Amino acid sequence: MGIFTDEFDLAGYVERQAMEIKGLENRDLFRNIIGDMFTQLYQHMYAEYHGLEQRMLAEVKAPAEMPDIMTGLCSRKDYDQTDREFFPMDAADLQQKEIPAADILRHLQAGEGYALFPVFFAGETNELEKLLREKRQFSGTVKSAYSEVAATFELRPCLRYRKQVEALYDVTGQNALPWRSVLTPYLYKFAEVWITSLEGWEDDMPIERVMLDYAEFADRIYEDMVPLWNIRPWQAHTSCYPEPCMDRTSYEHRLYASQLPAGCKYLLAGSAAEVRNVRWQGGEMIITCDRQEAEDWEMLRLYPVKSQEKYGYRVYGNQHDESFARNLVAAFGQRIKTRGEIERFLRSFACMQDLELADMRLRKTAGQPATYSTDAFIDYEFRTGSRAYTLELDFRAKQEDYRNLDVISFLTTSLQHYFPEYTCAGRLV
Amino acid sequence: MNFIWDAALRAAEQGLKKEAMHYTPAEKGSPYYELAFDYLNRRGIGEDAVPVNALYRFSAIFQYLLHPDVRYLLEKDKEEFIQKAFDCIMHILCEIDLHHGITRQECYVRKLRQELLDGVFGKEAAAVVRDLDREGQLAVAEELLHTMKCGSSLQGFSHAFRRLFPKGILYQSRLTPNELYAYLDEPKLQAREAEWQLFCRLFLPLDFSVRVFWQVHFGIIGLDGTMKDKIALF
Repeated sequence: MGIFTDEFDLAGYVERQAMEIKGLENRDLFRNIIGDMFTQLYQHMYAEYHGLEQRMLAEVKAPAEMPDIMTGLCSRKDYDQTDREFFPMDAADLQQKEIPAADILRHLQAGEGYALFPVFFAGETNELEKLLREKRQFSGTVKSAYSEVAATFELRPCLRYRKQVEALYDVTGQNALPWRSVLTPYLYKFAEVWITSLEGWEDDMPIERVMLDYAEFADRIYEDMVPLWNIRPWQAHTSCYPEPCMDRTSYEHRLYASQLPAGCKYLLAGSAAEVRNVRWQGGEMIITCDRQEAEDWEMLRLYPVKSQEKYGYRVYGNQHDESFARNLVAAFGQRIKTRGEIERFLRSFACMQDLELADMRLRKTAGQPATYSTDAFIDYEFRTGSRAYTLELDFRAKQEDYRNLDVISFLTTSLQHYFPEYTCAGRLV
Repeated sequence: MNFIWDAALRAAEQGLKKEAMHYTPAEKGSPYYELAFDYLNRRGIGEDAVPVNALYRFSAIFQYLLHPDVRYLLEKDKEEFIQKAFDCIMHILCEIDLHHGITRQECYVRKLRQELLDGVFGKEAAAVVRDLDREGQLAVAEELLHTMKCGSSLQGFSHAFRRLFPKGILYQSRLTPNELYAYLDEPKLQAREAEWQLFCRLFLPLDFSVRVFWQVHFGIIGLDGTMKDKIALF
């Protein structure tokens, strides 16, 4: 629907009017001249109006931003190597890891634990954090080919996947793009299993299997789970001789579109060169840096994700709509502190589709929020000082889900960037 | 009423569709007016075709077709065609007239109206806006654009208030400037209540609170007019 909503239907009008002309010759003339020629002229005129409308609206461009980052989860045995949407965050996760008995014993003798493998907790993030804080000991057994001995285990935080997300923050800077919070509910639900004691094991016995009794959590803790995202490492090489820049110290490295197949988005992942700028021109990437010779470039290739669910797990990402209002607000750059605008902002995210904003209020004092910051690694950037007011947001979930609070945490963190003067806190009602 | 767009706007106000309007070349038009009604001060559009002196603005287009020699001698047998062709061309010219004021502002307002209706600002907002008439919808969108341009403020809120609740009075507390009192001077109907809620949602800055009085004003000490008959107490 265009903005010209009450368009006059000339073709229909001509057809009706023609029948009112009694003289057949006149009617024929009317159909030929007005019906054919003038209707075409009129349609051409309206096409021009619509073109003008499109050009005016297109003037308000969407600001350049990070491509959408999507995350998923799958069981190791389920992963399809030919998948072109999701890739393991750590390719090594797809291999069964060998457990080195000698290393474990050395660490245990030194009074330290040893990290065995990550596990996925299919429950609320808060509950997992409580479990990690309590340092709960789990019993289990370690098996060799000949024997089986008792051991104790502990769950400790697993931060390596979240560190990978954190690393993207530097990537955005290098690509001269503003940071966007990332929705990764699964990554907050990973814990590392550490072995804390092992009685009567001999060095030379290779460990075949580790079995844990997760007690009351047995039905919610899964081993061999692999977190996925739509990012894959990619290599490219400068396509032609680098061109010197006006400053006489930098060079422009052009990467032809043929190296960066369409359909995906690309980010420069990191480089030893002093990169001054990254820009795109007609599908080609141009890197301005201090290197005179053609270089190999480490890139990230971000795949588009269409699936809502994959490998039995829902897909989560930070994608948002492309509304005109969104672009307009960004273009004018004014802050709009109204409920309507907050609702529009939150609703623009695809992950909001299963949630409703029930209420919101400003409060002077507030307790510990139910939500966490999904950008904890840059909290110092926008959670500086103390704030007088907390903006409390009440969400209603259409259905119960252990990932709802993680989604709300992402939404409140995104809003926090928008309203640095308030502490934004969300909760489920 | 003078121009053809004048007549078209008046017809739209009367609820007439564009298709229901017809134009005819004026038999005795004044050289000073485009519309050639019998009465200069005519205010409404009737069922009859609107007589137009097309030579007033469009003589370059019509000087051949409407020339008496052509109409009554040369092409005498094509009178029916000339009448209908004139009507259709007038409709096209009127459409051009009605697009005369396309500006970025208008374009943005219309697009925002469309997004309001599409639910970009929430389903509840879309439902309320859908129940407004076209002018009301455009007014909300225009005020919304104003908020986007200038940021949310009490100034913007009261501007939108005057526009959307023209009979109302907005008071600001001297003691706590973030408290507002709105007297709307109209009955509390369900539809209007929903509009008030939408209005607050779209325009009231977060750190303000507003207390609404529908038909009964509250008493203000020192203002005699407010201290008689029924008064609201709080």
